[in-house]
Amino acid sequence: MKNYNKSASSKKRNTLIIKFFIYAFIIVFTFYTLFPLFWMIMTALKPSNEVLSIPPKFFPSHFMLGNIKKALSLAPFDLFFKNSLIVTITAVIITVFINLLAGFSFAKYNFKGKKILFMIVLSTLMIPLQVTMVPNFIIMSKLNWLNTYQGLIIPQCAEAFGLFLSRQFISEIPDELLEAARVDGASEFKIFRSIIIPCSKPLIAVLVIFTFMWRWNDFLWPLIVLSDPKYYTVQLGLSMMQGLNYVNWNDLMAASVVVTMPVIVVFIIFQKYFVQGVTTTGLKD
Amino acid sequence: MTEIKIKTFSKGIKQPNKSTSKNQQKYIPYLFIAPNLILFFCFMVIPIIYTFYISLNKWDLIGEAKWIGFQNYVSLFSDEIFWITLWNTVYYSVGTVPLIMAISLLFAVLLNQKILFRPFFRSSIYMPVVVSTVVIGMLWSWIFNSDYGILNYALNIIGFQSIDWLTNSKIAMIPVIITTIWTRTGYNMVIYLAGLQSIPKSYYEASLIDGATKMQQFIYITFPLLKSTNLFVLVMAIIYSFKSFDIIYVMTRGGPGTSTTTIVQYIYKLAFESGKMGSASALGIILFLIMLTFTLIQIKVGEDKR
Repeated sequence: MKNYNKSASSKKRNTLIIKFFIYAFIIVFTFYTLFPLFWMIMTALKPSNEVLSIPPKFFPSHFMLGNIKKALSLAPFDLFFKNSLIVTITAVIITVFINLLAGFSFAKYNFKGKKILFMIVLSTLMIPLQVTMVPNFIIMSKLNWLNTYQGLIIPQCAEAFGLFLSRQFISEIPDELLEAARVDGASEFKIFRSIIIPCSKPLIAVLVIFTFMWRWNDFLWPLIVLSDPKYYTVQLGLSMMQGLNYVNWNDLMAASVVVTMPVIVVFIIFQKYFVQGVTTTGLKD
Repeated sequence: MTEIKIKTFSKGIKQPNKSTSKNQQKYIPYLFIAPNLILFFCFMVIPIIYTFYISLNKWDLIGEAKWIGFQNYVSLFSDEIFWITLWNTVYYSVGTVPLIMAISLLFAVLLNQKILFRPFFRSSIYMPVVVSTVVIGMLWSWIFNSDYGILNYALNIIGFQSIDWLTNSKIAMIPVIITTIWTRTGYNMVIYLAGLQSIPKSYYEASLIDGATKMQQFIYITFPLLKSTNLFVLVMAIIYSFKSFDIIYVMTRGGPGTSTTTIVQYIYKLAFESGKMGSASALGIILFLIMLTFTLIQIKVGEDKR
């Protein structure tokens, strides 16, 4: 009896030690992920004479919110924000709409060539822009789409991820709903509008969030299509700022904070859908 | 009389209606997929074929393209920089993939337990995924800055010398790798979490009755059942590392020298800095074949499992 007690208490102590290590691991790693973001914000809000001070100050002596205004005035950021908003919003609307429509078609109709067409789309899933950037650049220049909004927006609107996800989701909407509407004389497009779209709200949320985040953060495609700063997106503007010699670290960090804000806000509001989006497909980065 | 009238009337309406709806059924599916498929063909399918065609030409965009057969490939294989960039890409891949997998699996397992503030820890680790690669590149350049960076300061405190992280060609890849791990762990952790949650709880309950420890549970239940998740994460991480561009571009521009130039960096340089469309396309095709190989391996191994 005594022995048993002893081993039980040592077991308890062991699990306590394990618990301690688990928490230590998690806290250290969370520190590693959060510290750079904290450091970005602190650098952004420091008075400029404290940015390069050694030892570094973890918290500024006073918060300079004016830094953000100053940083944004170093390059035409109002223009960049306008461009990014135009590109992101238009791209989200087009992408979500055409993916839902095509997903609906692949999920709910039988037609000749359906399998082959879907296979072709699926096979492009693994082909990144990096492979096709050279010919796409040439196609853009032949269409005269370099330095235009349509060049920024349209070529990237059809993407296999959204279509795949849409087909998957819509195929689970019961056929009876569609049949009932058909008996009532609804046109096929009306069925899409009044049944498919209302039933696909979680899907639409995932598509909107991921397309928004991807387009807002996109760098390579704008880098290829744009050479005229008039059309620069925020990411390109930021990267251009990096090359200017009168720009210092707290300007860069202040601009970075502002550029990151929209996606962080979207992330915090829609956390649930982020996880859903990654786990249901795991295909989009 | 009126009855008959109504009948014919309704017949008259119904008849054409039926036939149009049948006709509609035929072309409507195509109409619905058309916008998507047209874009796919124009900006995905055609470019891939076009890449292959350009890769057989010598072309600097200004003049006419000149057919030279496989000459671009031959000169790439004898180009020293091509082999350096291939090596750099493999180095980057080997540096990032195993660590990303191990760390994201570890934290997926830890954060799958009952833990205080679990949602907070999960979202914090996922947070870097939503930050843009440009911002990430700049932020970490600042952290790795050799004179004023916080990391060198921390090294100094614990008694080490400052390191010129991004300007020393021998070690410039290391900061890039550390940054990549920072950005990718959260994403893969979420995939592992989904894999973990698909394992039936009854397995663990049964093993508890048999007196299994947590470690034994991991080795004999969790890890074997995560096989397909592992394969998926592995292939996706490799593909990611082979196509990685933004972070390297922002942090080092592929330098110093060619020390962090990966295949994609080199494609970009060849096409948009040197104007060698043919060579850039040939390299694009090589990258495409590498990715295709990994994808086929994933499909093949995945099928064998089933």
